[in-house]
Amino acid sequence: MLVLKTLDSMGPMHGFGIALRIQQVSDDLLQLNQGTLYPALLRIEQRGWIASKWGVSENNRKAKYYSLTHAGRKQLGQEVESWDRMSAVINRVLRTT
Amino acid sequence: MRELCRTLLYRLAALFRRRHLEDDLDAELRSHMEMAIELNLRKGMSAEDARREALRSFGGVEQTKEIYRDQRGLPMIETTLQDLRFGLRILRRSPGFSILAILCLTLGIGANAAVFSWIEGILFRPYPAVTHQERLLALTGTARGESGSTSISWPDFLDLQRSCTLFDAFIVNKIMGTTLSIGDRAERTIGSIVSANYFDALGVHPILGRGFEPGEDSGRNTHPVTVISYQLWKARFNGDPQIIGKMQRLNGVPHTIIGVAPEGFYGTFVGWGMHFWVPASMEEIFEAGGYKLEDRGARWIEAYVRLKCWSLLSIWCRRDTMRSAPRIFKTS
Repeated sequence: MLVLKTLDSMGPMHGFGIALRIQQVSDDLLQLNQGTLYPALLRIEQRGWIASKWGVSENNRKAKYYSLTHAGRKQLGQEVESWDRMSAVINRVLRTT
Repeated sequence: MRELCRTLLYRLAALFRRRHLEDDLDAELRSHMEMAIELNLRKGMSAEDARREALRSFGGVEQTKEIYRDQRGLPMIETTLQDLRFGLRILRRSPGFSILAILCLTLGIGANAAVFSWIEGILFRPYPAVTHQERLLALTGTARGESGSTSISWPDFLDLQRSCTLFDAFIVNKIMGTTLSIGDRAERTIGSIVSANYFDALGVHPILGRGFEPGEDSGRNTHPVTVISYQLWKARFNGDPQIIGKMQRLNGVPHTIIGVAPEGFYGTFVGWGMHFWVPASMEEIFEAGGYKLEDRGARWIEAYVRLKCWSLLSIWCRRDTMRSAPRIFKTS
């Protein structure tokens, strides 16, 4: 979901960029190894939610760019929705005295 | 579901483009590292620190690759292929031993196959063209004061056939030889004396003419008819399509040819191929010892039964035949 969301708001992006972005927006709270991102990207790509293409980075480096597909956008919508519902339920349970 | 299919297809495709994808992965990770190092340099780290920091935040590179590969292809197939390749390499390294081993295996498997098909032919399915022969059993009699088993007599057969409920077929046959003369040529031929239900019970349908009809096995020399084998029909009668109704002398007595057995049916004696069949009423012509159809003491014929089912085989069979035995002996 984090990857999908990142690609949704940033547009096509390479692996390093995605890792950096996730670290930044989470204020470095999510201290995952950047390496774990790649198998995850592959898994998402296999499901058809993102597509990859080789491109050139802003400072002229060859990099693989990932972009959200139509199916991916739909999936993101669903996941956000179910997350909202889930967290709402949990919140309600926690706040109830 | 669609995603599952996609994933599977993707993984399958990956099997065939492994080298390409591997290069792809290398390039991608290298580019990641370079970007990370560059960023760290810009933050003011020394070259050494920048590199170390990039590696640290990435985690294990080889580990990542390994996880990535497992996710990419079909690991089970890949490792199987690897094992196969390894096996072939080992075989090639010591060709002498390999050839010996392969030779041994070939001989072993070959011998096994040969023995099994032989056993199958002799024991499991000895009578080609006979239906349900897995339920076919030979029935023998015993006589007081005699060791071993004996054949059964014709009156026994009739009584057992009437009173046993466990069999859906009960036939008898007796192997015998005769002189077959066609034109000026005469030769010894093997045939069978059988009960009239023989062909029907075995599920063998003559390709020309008919099998025996009920009643053709009773009486004394009253039904001089014969069914001939396919081989005899082809070899001695040149496959004559008008064969039905023609006369053939068997042991000097003219018999009417009423049917031709299908190809591949050789009768019911293991190891022998029958060439003709006559009904039991003609017994006297072919057997020494005179007319035996009314003699309960003359145990001359072999019986086969086909069980209705295999369940409780031995107990039930024995009980059923035993139960009818007193009735038989009371009448004799």
